[in-house]
Amino acid sequence: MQGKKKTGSLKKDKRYFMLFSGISLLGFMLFYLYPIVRTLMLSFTNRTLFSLSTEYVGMENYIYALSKDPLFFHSIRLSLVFASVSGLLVLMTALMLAMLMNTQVRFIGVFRVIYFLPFIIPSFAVGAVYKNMFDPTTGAINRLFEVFGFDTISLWHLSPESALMTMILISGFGFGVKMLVFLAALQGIPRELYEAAQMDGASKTRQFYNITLPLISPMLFFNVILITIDGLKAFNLAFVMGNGEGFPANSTLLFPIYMFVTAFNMPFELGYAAAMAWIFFLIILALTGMHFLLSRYYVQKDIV
Amino acid sequence: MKRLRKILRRHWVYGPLVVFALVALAPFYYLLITAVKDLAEASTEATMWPRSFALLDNIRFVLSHPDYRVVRMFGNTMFVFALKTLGTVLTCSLAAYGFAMYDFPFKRIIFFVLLSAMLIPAEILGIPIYEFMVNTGLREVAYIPLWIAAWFATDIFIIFLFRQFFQNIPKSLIEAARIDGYHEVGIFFRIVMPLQRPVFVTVILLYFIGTYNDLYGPALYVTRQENWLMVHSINIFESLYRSGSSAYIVPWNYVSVATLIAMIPVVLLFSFMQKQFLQSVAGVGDKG
Repeated sequence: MQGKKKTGSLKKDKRYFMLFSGISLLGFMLFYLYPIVRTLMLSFTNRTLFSLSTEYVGMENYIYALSKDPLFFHSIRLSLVFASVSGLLVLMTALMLAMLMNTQVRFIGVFRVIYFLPFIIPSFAVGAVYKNMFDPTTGAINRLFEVFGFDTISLWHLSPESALMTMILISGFGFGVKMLVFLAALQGIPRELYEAAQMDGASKTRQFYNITLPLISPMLFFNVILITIDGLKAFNLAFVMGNGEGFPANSTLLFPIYMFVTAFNMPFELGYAAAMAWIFFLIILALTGMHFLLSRYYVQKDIV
Repeated sequence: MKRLRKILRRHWVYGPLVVFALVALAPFYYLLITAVKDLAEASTEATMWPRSFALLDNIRFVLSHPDYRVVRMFGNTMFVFALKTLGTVLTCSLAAYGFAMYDFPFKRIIFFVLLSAMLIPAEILGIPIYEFMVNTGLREVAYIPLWIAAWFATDIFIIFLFRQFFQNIPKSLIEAARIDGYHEVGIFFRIVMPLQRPVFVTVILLYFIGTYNDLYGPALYVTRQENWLMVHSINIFESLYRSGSSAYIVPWNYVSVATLIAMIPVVLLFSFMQKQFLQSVAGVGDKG
C-alpha cells in the first residue's frame, strides 16, 4: 500500500505538512503542553485564584492529599468503583445487544432506533428524567416494585447508601454508540467462518469464544479504553445527580466533581486542586498502561 | 410441539430484544406521561397512567415563566455551537489531511504524541485555562473560553477520525488533480472536502450533541443569566420550589415539559440525519 515517495518531493512535503498540520502542533502546545506544565508548577504552590502572593510549598499539597484529606481518597475510590462497575455494565449490554442485532431477524431496524433513543436525551436532562423515575414517591420504579409485590421501598439516589448504585444503573443506558461500534465489528466477520464452524459441529458457545471474540478483540480493546476513561472522567451525570456537590452526603462525589469544587468554588484553591489533578492523571496513566500490557494477551491486531 | 420448538429456536432472539427495548423506552414513556399530569399529581404520586390532563397548562406555564427565555438560551447555544464546530471542522480536517498526505520527519511519532494527549483528563487542563480567562477578563466575553480551543485543532479524536477517512482516498485521484493544475490547498477544498462530505456531516452532528450536552464548560464560564444556555433551562423548574436545604417538592410536570422542549432540536436532527449518522458512527469502528 505505502509506496516509497520520490525523495525530491520530501522538502515540498515538509512545507505542505506544516501548512496543513502546523495548527494542530500549535494547538497541542497551547492547550495541552502549556496547561499540563503549568498545572504541575501550580501543584507545588499554595496559589488560590485571588491570592496576591503565591508561595512555593514543595510537596505539601501532595502530602496533604495522600495523607490528610479523607475526601480525596473517598472521591478516588468512588471514581474507580463507578468506572469499573458502570464500564462493565455498559460493555456487556453493548456487546450483548450488538450480537442480538447481528442476527438478521425482521424489524431489526426498529430495534436499532429504539436502542439509540436514550442517547438523544441531552445529558443535562438525563438527571431530571431519571431522578423522576427513581423518585421514591413520584417515580415509576418503586411503583413497579410495588405492583410486582416487592414491598421494599428504596430511596435510590436520595440515600447515601444507594446513590452511587443508582447512578451506575442510569449510566448503563449510555450503551448507544458502543453498541454501534461492536455491531460494525461483528458485521465485518465473514459469514463463511460461522458456516464452516457449523459444519464442523462447533456449538454456538464455541463459535463465540473461537471466532467472534478474537475477531472483535481490537474493538473490544478500543471500547474498554474509551469506557474506562469515560468512567474516570465522568462529570455530567454526577454533576446533575449530586447537585454539583456530591449530594447526598458526598456519596456521589466522584473525583472530577471534588476537583471542580476545590478549584472553582470558594476559596478557589488552584494549587491544591492542581496537585490532586496530577495524582489523578498518574492513576489514569497507570491504568491505561496496565490495559495496554494486558491487551497483548487478547487483542489480535493493532488498531492504529 | 415440534413446530413450537422450531419457532422458538428461530425467534427466541425477539425475547431479549423486546425486553431491552422496553427498558430503553421506559424513560420516554414516563417522561411523556409526567408532562401530561397536573402539578398535584406529578409532584406527589407515581401514577403509571395520568389521571389529570394538564399538558397545555404545563406548556403555557413553562413558556411564560420569566426566567425561561428559551429563544435566547437556544440562540446562545447555537452561537457557541457554530463557532466551535466551524473551528473544529476546518482546523482538524486540515491537520488530518496533512498527516494523511505528506511526509514529515517523525510524523508517526508526532501523531502518536497527539493521540496520547487524548488520555489527559480535561480536569488537569482546565485549571490554567480558567486562570488565564479570569486574569485576562475574557471569562464571560462572547463565550470565548468555550470555543477558542476549537480553532487550534485540539480535538484529537476528530483529527484521528478525519485521517482515517483521508487515508482511503486513492492517491491516483490526488495525482490527477495535480496534473490538472490544482494547487494543494485547492485539492483539499475542491476535491477532498466534497468527496468526504459524510464525515464532515458526522462531525457537525457529533459537535451539535457535544455542545448541547456540555455541562462542564457552562458550569465554569457562564454565570450571568442573559448568557444562559439550553443547559440551564431545566434547572429553572427543578429548583422552582426549593427553599433553603429542607425538603421540597419538585414540579416534575414542568421539568418534563422543559425536558421535552430541550429534546426537540436533537430529535429533529436525528430524524433527518439518522441514516447518515448511524452509518458513519459504525464506520468509525469499521476502519479499525
